Amino acid sequence: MACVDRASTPPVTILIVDELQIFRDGLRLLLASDTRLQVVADAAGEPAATALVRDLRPDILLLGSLPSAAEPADMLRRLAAAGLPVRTILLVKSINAPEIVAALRFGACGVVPKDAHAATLFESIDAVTAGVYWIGERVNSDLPAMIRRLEHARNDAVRFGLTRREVDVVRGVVTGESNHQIAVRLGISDNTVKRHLVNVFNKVGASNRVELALFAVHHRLMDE
Amino acid sequence: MAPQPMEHSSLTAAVAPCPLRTTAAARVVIADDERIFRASLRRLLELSSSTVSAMFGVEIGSGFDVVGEAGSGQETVEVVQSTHPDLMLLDVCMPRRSGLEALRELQRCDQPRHTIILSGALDAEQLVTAIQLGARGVVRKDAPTELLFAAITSVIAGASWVDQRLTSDLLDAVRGLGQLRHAASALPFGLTRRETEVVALVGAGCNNREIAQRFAVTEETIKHHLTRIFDKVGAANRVELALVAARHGFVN
Repeated sequence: MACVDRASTPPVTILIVDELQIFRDGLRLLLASDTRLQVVADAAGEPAATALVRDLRPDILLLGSLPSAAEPADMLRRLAAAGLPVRTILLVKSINAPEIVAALRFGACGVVPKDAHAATLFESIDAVTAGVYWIGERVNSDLPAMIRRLEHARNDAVRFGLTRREVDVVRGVVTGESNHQIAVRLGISDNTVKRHLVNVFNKVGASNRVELALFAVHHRLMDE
Repeated sequence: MAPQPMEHSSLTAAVAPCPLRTTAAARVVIADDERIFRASLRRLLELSSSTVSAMFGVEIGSGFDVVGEAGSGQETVEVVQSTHPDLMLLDVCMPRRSGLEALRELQRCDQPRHTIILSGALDAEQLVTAIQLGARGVVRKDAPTELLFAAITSVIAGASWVDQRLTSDLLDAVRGLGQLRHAASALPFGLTRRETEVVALVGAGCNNREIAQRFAVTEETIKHHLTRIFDKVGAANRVELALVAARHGFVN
């Protein structure tokens, strides 16, 4: 955490968006323990959040749960459409929630489960500020490496040894479908979907569906 | 080191160094399955009382000392047993035994002195159960921060606190309990409990004096009871009443 030229480095500015004021106030204090970070504002949700992104142009948007179960992905999509991209870290209940993938497609750069250690949150902010994806609870060196490695690969699913059916399953993951929704769409059982996913994880080297979706989007597997 | 830029909000700017505490701070355990939420809440509770007063307008006395955290129901029981806190802030939805199961378990051994439920959505049944298990405060997580401080301060001072948005749920639940009790006590012929007991003794062959002695009341009172009972049951005399008592299983 030590920083030799701290005086000359401007702080990382952060906007906190979460429906719970108790959480926002506490999180502000938590982040204040790192002097390189500066929480510039907080909001419960839209429309305040969008206005604050526009006015304050924060380096990082910490995005938790929104009122009325609004989807973070929808908010990010609107921000992107308004020409207000912001590096976003999602604070999520579970890393494997299907809707997280959608948020990643609309520009989220990090996903941190709420049951992670506070240290993880600080590390994720460092990583995302440095332009690296952060997925999960630990330093995830696999993901950037995987993305780099795969940038040289051809954009075909066959390259990764995926069957047509496996690509169908991956398509569901990318669009944010649950296993059950995929099963219904393909007319197969939930367990078969799970088995396909395990095989796909092994083939592409992903360890959860978020990584898989990033991988797929990055490699345009769905464009086949 | 260059001075840090000023904050927009008063929140961080108002953080003052913790003054020396003259009386003991309340010892608090936070039970919630989300670690980042716990860490954030801990920061809030560890603010000095002067900072809380300045930021949230609530006087919290000697402040709070977070002595433990738990991420599951099981952990909650262990942490409370080892720390004996003055106050527990308890989430209901937790893995490995819910918050309410932990509370039930703790009721048998080491209860924290005070418990406040700090939870997301809470249905009426959970609300009533929490109160029955000894929780004296219920605060929803989406409450304003100042209300959380006010609730904690009140409960530690011996008062009770229920989130205003939950009071109508609570009243409905209490009303439901009343109806339940009424249904359970519905006895044949609309007799009261005492009248039923009198009928049972008549059926057992007791005279008025014996029944009066049994209940430590006067014979006059028993006669009064019997008059009402004859009316309700439609019996003309003790023998008919005894027969009714036998037929309806009043005799025990």
